[in-house]
Amino acid sequence: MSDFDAIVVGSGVSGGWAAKELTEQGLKVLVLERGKQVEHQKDYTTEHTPVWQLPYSGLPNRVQDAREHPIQSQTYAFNESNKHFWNNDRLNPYIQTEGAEFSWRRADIVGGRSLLWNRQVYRWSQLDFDANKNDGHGVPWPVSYDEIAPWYSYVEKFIGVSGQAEGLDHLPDSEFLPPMDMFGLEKTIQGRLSRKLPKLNFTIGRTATLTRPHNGRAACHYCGPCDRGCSGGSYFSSQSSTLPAAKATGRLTLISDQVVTHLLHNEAGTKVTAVAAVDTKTGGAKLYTAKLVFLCASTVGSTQILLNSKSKLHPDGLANGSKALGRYLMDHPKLTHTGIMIDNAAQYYQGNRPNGCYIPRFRNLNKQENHDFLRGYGYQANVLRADWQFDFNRKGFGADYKESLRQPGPFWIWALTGFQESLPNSDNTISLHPNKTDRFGVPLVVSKFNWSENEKKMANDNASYAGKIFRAAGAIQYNVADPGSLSVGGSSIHEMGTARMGDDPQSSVLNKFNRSHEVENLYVTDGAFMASSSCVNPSLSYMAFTARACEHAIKNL
Amino acid sequence: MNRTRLNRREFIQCAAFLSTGSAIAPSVLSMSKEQQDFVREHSDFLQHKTTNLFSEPQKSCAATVARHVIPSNDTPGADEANVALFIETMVQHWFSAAERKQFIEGLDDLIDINAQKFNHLNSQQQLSVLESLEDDASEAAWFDLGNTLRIWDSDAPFICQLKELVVLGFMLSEVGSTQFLKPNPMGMFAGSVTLKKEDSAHASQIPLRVLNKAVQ
Repeated sequence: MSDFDAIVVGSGVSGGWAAKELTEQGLKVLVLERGKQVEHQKDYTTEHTPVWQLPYSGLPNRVQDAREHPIQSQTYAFNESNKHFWNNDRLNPYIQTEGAEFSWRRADIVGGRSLLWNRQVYRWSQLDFDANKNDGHGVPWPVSYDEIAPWYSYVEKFIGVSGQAEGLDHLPDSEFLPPMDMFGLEKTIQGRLSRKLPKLNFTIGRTATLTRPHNGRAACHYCGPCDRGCSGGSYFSSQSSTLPAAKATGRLTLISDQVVTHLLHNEAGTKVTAVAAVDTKTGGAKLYTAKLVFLCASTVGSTQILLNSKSKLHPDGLANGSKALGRYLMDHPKLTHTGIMIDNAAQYYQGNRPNGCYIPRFRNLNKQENHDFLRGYGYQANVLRADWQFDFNRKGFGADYKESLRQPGPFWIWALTGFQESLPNSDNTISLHPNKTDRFGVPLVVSKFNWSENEKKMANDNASYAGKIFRAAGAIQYNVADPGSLSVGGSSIHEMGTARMGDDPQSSVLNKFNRSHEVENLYVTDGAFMASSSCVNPSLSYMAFTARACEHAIKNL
Repeated sequence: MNRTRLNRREFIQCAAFLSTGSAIAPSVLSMSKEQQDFVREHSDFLQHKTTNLFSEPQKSCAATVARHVIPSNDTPGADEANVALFIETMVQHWFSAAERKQFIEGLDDLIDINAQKFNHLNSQQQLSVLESLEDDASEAAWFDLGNTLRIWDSDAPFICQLKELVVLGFMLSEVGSTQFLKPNPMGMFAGSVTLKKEDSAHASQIPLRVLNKAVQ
């Protein structure tokens, strides 16, 4: 007799969706979360806190950050107002391989990174699902766009996605709420690009942020710092969306502060029988049982649990007969380029738009194109108006100097970040250290990650094409990033792979429904299942595949 | 769920960010008890740090320089924003030991700039001293175009560091953010609004240099 029908490990984007779907289909579900509780609304303590109330007026506490958060503090969204949501790197360390660094950005709260994410949501296309099959890198995807499209629609209708329909085959439209307004400058740029680089598409970012009330959640009020939590529930988070839906069924139990250490299986090695956890507050060990287990502990976290569940029957880690577990770790290498624009300088803006614009992939859309790299990249584009923060470093004193700081500066910064697809590479790995363990007795994660030649060659195009875009857009000056300065793996926070899906159990960990080939009641639906990386943000795909996996699990109970 | 109505002070705090009449969901305009407790405990951060680093002449010198950088005129200046206390707090608690030592030396050198001592010079003489210090620092990288988005320039000459602390202390204060700059009104997003001569830049919610640190 099991304690629960299903156990979901992790409460972030994927775990929240698994909890919602499984409870709504009648299952009694336990969610185990390693982080601390953060309750919707009440625990968003810094929401709307003005800068002068933040420690050191929001300037980073360099000593403390270097000691407690050396990894997390490198993240754009980490600051004095929300550091309590992020992983403490001193208490929860991992080991990087020298010369093959991987930056593991983690939350340590209920809701996981769904509270902290940048909310960009893009569908994958058939081009993405065909990529591995067409060029031979990685294993072919066992799922087509047509199979997953209804699930994209299903999750989009629930979470709310604002954006503009463009009718592109390689970036299919979502079920859209109205798009956000563009800056005047962006409209100028859009017009120029459409004339000078007509094959590019320039569209407002597609974001899981509400532009009108939706499913009981408020429309965005454009206050700005989403990553502190939003009491209006205006962006998708587990707290605002999936966990309340799961709770409403009366069948959800969520326990925070529970680090899942490993899974136990039956004598035949074909079923998980229990989930072993340690209470982070008491150190007490506990076993939880259920008929079904969903790992949604994040790409690295879920793989760590499986690797640490090895047994006589599963000597290389649970469900790892393929030896693919822990391999083919991916992220999106990126370069950020900046241009200076003096158009629309007589205009300003009102409200903080939590969104940018997007230039979808335009390379290798058809087989006739001839580049020295495979696959492609897209640019996320953000506008920033110059102010005193750019030019206070000048001479002068008194009233004139003071006045020079008051108004917006006479130009805009337009930043283009090119996010590239990376190829699945068996040398990019997550493994467990043979003898070093964390404070819960779990072997430490060891990461090893490098970009391949394809990513490096694509970076040249990413950089040179950015220059072309700046010239076409009318930038008076621009700085293109050195293609040799690709971001460290993991820092796009789009880590994927390490328990990939595929039709062949000899080369993949999961089947096309995210179920283990070897363990019949085990599903992995966070980023670990991804067989390739596309160049678009992956969270929406985690949601769609999770919902689909839940339906499959329930049908096969 | 614990939803309490705002008291007046808290409402004003929220309202500082809400100058449009757009419809905003009631949940946004109310704060949880935990949020209210946080706001109470985290009024101006300067009130929550003990500072006892500077001597009286050092305090006086920092305040005098702050007034020279950001005077009070038709809008409040460094005095109203308590910038001298900001400087002392940052130097005592935020600087590294090496940065602190270097800064204190610079401050003492300024105080002893000549036989009359900086604090006792008249305003015009003080200004000349500050201008000549800045001229002496001309070669420093601190003045480079765009060298503003790093977290801190530990190698910058004393006069440059002092000026940067004054600017940060003023612009990130409640006075600077609401009576000199203006909070960006929330409630809606409009991408093109005509910029009028009297308009100020939007106040910061988090210093830009913090966001910039992740950009390669």
